[in-house]
Amino acid sequence: MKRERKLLDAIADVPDEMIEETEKRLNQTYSAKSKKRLLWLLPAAACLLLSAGAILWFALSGTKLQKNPKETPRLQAAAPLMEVSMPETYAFDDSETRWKIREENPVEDSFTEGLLTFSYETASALLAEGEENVNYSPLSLYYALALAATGAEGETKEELLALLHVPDTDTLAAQCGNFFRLSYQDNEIGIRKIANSLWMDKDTAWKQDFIEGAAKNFYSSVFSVDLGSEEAAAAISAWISQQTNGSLAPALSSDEESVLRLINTVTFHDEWVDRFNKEKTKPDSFTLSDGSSVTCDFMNRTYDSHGFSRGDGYTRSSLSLKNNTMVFILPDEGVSPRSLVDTPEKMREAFEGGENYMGEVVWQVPKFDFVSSLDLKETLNNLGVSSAFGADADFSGITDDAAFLSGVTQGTHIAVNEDGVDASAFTMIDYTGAAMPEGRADMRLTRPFLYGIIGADSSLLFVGICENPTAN
Amino acid sequence: MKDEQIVALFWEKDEAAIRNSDTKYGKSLHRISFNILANREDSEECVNDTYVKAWNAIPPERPLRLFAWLGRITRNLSLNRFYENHAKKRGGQALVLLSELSDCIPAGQTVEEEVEGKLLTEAIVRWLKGRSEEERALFLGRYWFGESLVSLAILAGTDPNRLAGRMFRLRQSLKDALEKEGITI
Repeated sequence: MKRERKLLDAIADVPDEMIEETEKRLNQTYSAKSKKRLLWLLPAAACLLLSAGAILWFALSGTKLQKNPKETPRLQAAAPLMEVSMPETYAFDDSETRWKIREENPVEDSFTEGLLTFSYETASALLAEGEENVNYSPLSLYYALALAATGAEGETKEELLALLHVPDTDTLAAQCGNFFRLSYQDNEIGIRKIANSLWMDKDTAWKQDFIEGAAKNFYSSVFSVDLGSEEAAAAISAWISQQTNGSLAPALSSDEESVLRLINTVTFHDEWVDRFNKEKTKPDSFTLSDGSSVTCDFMNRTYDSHGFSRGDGYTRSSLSLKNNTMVFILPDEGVSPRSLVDTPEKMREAFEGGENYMGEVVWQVPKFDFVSSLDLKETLNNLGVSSAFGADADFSGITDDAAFLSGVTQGTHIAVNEDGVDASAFTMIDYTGAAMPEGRADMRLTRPFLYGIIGADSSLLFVGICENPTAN
Repeated sequence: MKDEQIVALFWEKDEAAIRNSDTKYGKSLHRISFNILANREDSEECVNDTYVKAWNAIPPERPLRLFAWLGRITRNLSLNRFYENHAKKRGGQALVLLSELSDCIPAGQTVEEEVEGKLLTEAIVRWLKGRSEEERALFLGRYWFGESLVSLAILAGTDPNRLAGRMFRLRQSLKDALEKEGITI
């Protein structure tokens, strides 16, 4: 046995990344009683609209976000100033390429921690108030602000960097580039795609360095258009619609004062690892915050051995997607989901804290599908970004002409729904779990709840509160 | 708690480091040990010893990936315990793993040509990188984590019998790779 033992010892020292990769897969396996394929769809799209203008610009204040527009505006003549080659795409099961991309694009822990801190700070500020469904993509806002920061100087830059939790714009640009390539996914199973575009007024002089940096690190397409024209507004709207596969089609209006529109979209689509049995989907009652109730369709399943966490005022558990994870946080009876996120620290506790258990978890998840539109200017002001919105804004890295941000709006669309799937694809395997069940959790989401979609390197692609699954 | 925070607690010699390590990774470490030893009492001791080792090693060490670092200690301690137990004719799952690994031993070895452990690891890593993510998880799940074929069959979406055949082909593939590189053990 000496040689076998030597082999076993040699295997001990394989790289940490491989151990973590295996651990992750094993954990996913423990949490699944049965393995099924190609079952549920969870498409979501987000778009963020950010603009800079010579004077205050309110063009987006009346923006209407539409789902599945009957007529998608046609892209008008708008040629990009610089062609952008997107990162290579690869098949879902091409783990070699995925491995290679990870090795070639190191993302520092300090960057992912900063991104996460930014996510909780902004999300807490946005989600703590309100009574309606809300969906927010921290990642989308981060990229839009990061791109703006790389063209900012002086106080404007300092304020943006402080909120983005990075020491300087060189680090920010390099890490955003690496994270973009790491996160980018467009294959037969899932889409996780950040897209950026800069729409510049044709009469304004732009700095070539900024345009090149935007293309290199943010994969941003740059268009030179007459921003005061209806054609430009239609072209931007069409670009958003194209990037989000038609999920969003904001009705933008033209604005003669605007000199720059910075558009960022995050498109996301993934499938459940384990589908909910469609035959078990049943209508049930969902109790709203005001005590009244609505009836909606609930997807049902029970895991005999599944991980869950309990903390002060909530129970949390997650469902695996093929490329990501969706986490659900159910407040205890009488606890408002808003109260769990009213500070960044409390929100982090709800998403990451609590005591971990393994046991029977009963899932009852409502189907929901809604758009959300957020005006982020005030939130950003409250978080210390004020110079960028004022007359003394310094975007001299972008243009020598006076320019400042006039508005930041984010529109998102999320849908948790089922896709028609051949039931013959079901394969049932009896589970023999080694972990001793320690309890039981009811994830019956029959009252307002929190959710999040966790993407590459634990980044928060989306977070939201579902107050009413039947509201659009 | 983030890994770096736990490591910082170890550096400050704060006992909360052990508590937080156990909260975050205790279950997984226990599982690794139990997979090897098939004895709850022994595996609990190995996990406790893991924390003692970590306490003594940090500082000066500052592991970047805490789970892999702790898991490696647990695995080594559990294997050592297994070898001791085996000498005393007490059972354990690792015997099965060792016996399976016989399939991977390249032919034609002599004592003089024996390869260094580090070079052997490097060759295994090269081979692993050439496998799909699922194959890597299956191989390491079995021979790093000591998982049962039943558990791994769920991961692979198959039944244990079919998986056993697949694992055999994986071991053969490693053997071929080692032979091609002229590695002897």
